[in-house]
Amino acid sequence: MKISYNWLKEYVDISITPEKLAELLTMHSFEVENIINQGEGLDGVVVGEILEIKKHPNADKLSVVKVNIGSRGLAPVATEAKPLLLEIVCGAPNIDVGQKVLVAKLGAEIPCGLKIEKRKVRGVESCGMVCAEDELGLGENHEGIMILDEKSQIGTSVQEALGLDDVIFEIDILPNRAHDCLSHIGVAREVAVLLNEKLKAKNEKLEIDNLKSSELLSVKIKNEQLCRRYSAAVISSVQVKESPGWLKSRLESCGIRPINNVVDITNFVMLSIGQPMHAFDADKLKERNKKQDTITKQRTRHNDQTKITIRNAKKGENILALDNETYKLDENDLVIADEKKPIAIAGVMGGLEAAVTESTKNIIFEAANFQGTKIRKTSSRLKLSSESSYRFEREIDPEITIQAIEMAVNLTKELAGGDMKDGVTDIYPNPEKRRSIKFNFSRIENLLGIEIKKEKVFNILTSLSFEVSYKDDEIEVLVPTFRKDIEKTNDIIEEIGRINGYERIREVFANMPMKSVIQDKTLLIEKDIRKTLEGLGFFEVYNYSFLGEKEISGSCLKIEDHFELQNPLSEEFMFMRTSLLPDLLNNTRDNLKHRDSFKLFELGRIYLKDSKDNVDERKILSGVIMNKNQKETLFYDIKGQLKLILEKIGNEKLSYRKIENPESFWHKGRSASVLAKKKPIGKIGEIHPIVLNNFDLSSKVVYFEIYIEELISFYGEIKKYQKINKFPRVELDLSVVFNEDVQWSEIKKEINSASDNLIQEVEPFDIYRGKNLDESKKSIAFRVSYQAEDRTLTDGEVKAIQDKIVSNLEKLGGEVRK
Amino acid sequence: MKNKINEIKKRALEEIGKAKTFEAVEALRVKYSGRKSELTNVLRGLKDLSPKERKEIGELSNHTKQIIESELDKKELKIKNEELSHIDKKEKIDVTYPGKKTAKGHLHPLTQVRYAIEAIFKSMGFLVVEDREVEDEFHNFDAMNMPRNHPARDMQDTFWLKNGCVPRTHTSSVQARFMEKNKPPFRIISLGRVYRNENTDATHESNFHQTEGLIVDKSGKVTVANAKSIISEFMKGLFGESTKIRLRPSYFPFVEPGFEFDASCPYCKGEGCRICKKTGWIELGGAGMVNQNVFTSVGFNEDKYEGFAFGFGIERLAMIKYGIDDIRLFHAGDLRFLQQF
Repeated sequence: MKISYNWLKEYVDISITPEKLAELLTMHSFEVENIINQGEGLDGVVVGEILEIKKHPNADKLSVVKVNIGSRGLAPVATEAKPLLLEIVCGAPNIDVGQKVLVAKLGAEIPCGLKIEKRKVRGVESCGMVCAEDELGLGENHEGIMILDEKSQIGTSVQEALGLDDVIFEIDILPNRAHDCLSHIGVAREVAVLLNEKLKAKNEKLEIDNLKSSELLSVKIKNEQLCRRYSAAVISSVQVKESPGWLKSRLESCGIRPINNVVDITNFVMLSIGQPMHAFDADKLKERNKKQDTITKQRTRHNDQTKITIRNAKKGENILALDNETYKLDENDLVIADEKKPIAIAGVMGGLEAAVTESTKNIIFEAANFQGTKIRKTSSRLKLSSESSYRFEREIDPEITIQAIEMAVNLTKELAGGDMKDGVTDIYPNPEKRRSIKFNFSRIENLLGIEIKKEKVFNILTSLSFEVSYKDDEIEVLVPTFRKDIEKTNDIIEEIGRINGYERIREVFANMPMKSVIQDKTLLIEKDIRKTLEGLGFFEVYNYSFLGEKEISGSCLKIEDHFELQNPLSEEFMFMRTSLLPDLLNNTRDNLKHRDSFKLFELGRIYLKDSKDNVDERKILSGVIMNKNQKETLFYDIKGQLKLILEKIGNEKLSYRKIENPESFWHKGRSASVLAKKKPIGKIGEIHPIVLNNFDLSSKVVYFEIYIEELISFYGEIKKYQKINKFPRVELDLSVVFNEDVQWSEIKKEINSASDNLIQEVEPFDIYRGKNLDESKKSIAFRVSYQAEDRTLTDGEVKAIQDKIVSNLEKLGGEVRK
Repeated sequence: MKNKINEIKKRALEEIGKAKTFEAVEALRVKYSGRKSELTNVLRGLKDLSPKERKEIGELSNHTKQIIESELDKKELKIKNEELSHIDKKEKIDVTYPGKKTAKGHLHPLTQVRYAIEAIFKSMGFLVVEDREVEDEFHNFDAMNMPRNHPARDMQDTFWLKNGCVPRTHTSSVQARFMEKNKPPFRIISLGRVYRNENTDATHESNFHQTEGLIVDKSGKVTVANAKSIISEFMKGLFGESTKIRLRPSYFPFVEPGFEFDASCPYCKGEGCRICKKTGWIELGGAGMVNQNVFTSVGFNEDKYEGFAFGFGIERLAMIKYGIDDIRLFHAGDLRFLQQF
């Protein structure tokens, strides 16, 4: 909220600079996000009078104006700024002789970034600039130049002429203090406590007896929970016109556009004490069907009363609101209605029909208290929010409506004349009670960890308008009605703590048991995996959890398997991902612009639908290998690396087999399921070229995914030491030709079955196809290592096993190459 | 014979002394120590001697042979070392030529910061836990003292799934999940991804990461003073021993009292610089004593326990630590960015 420094000073004596005040507020839960010095950057801009306007000789849309900036204008910003009369080239359409305008003199640097210099515009020298509102940072208007009041003094500075001597703080009022601090008095109350000053009381009492209900009004509240209080007053014979400068500038400083004196008064009251108000044109509202104009006459008869009801809207009711939009209301919306129809959406916005305009003579001021959640629902359903709804949503003190009416009436009499012959109608069936909170004094130290003396506690709480009484070690606090945030003991202790200052609390180590902590296995597995992958040269990426339809269908995944967002940021962020593949392919494509080979992985969550349509979150490790120059063996690269990753996790041997029901993005001839303990723990393989095409990829991509949760069961198995074999090892190579469809797993099985325990290792090192071989054949070369644990093998023993291997392989159609 | 041996010895040592090359030494070895050496020739006459003389001469000749061989070895080593002493010059390389490129992996900077955070808290006896990212309304909001239609919900722009679930807006939901399953005392942290429906720019992301911490114990055993020390120890662990912290009162629905915590700027040590916007302090996160309503919502007796909770953004820490100026880089998957960490 925008808070004016000058306005605050009306409530409390402030002896420190605005900057110091901002710092103080920021350190005490009122964060000042911005300080605006109103007159800043406007030096060298003065009031001038247009004396003469000539057409520019070389440009149709430009004119040359002669401006008098008076003798005071002589105070130079730059030395050239001597002449009393300046000739300025100007393009604005709204200028006229005799107008008072704002002139930026030579040398001035104005907020839009322009430095004013003497320069020729289409051949005519221009010695300054006649400014528009937006160029001076005073508003957004760029329709034409800014025309000042004709009484403005020629030569005075813009700061003086427009009263720009204030400092505005943009303060982040947090929800707990939005009940009482979306107002100047609320912030001033805090400032007074922080500066140890007294709040200056203002006397707003009405001269008439305000306790007497107005006889001109009959107010009926249908639901006392939704409308806690409704206060209203009728003023007759007001003169609706433009507000005086001081009032307009107060509102403008706080970002509210002045409308007319009556409306401005309601806004002024709201900014002062936080009570939103509304003003109705009494004549437009009462007995609209009769169209008579007799309200100014004294009315005492009951049937002449203006009847206002606060009720729920009826089905089918509409209202044309002040923003010129028609809103469809429903039974859940609270409205202010006359006898016929709604005249305002309660707490949100008034209706246009009963609006106060220049022709209004008689007005009704409303200061009510509506239930926050009700207003919030209506405001969010209608997508309509206002300064008023913003405050009501946050619940305000029902005690302040009368003060608001008093302020408004007094101001109206001062600024708009008018007459209030009658009392204030005030319907307040269940007056707010002050909350009482009792607690043991030791709770303060128990929570804050610092001892604060009873006297200090007393002073802090009373300065915040709490009433405090002690009984032995028990403290009882009566909470002022405007502090709706104070509900429990801790709330009171927070007040004590924050005013006393957290900087006074020493750091004290918590007294906690020394205990070893067994950390979560999943997280340990993830860390091991990451470290291994880092060692293997992988880059870790983080991608968004959201995907677009294009990525999903491009990856041949099914849209209906994905959870959809109600309110996505954009089309690319519509669904929760069920696979890390799509974004890894995006990453691959993007990075191929800069390098030819790389390895990527992401370890993240996917969001699957379970059978009951609930979100089933899984952790998954996915990665890709890309190498433009080495395509055929990439699959085996990944396979080898997966082995290393899983060896780090446990002892389980991996096996590979065809994927059952593979997702369509796999290349079915070049992909496999990875199994450990016969359970699938992941998949590896090439991505189908159709999918690659969808991602503008032309090189092969090998991809893998591992389900982290499946690794938990064999994580941390102890690795048993194997005795180092001291006997010599014999290595013999064989090269055998097979049919293309014979798989290595079969070959290896046959080799191993040639001996119970003397074959230590079998390792293929080459596959040959082509010359001298039939097209359907391949030749596999492998090395067999023979070793016994208890003796040196003889040549004869080795030969026997080797012969057995050869004959075993013949069963598979193998033929030894000589 | 004795003389002859001594003469051979004298001559041999002289010649060894003069030898300059490896080959010369080898030739001398053949001449004086091999099977056909002069010494061997002389010893052929041993058989004509008396046993006593034989013994004497035998010892002498063995001794002489040892001396000659040892001198030969010494000379050989000397020549070898001499040659090697020139190798520095002979095999000189250009050390300014770049080292061979080795493929190295890179963990994401957020992972690295995450593990750094975890390590500090683990050293203080914290348990690292995780829970759901897609939450129900209760755990994300209601249990955290943010009932429906409460303006506090406006503090966080929320995504909703069509099935009514919420991609969590903060890791605070883990507090509720953990307390439902565990009894105090405990101290935990939880790091993970959160979601906000905010337009993205250099400092705002829709997907980002937070750290949540929670300590609960019997009332009186966890105080603001303890909270200050935990935050302070963490910040020292992260930014160095001289780091200072301060608390500013603030509001979060799930704590009371609530505060924001700042650390002294690690770049200018509190002097004021560009990173800390000339304030000397860096805003890092929110914290506070667990609101009694949160305890009630998870079924704890609110009068019996007191707790301290804190939370902060991991991206923000990483940005400060590495001087990164655009939060969007973390999710861009650009290796030119990632390889720097």
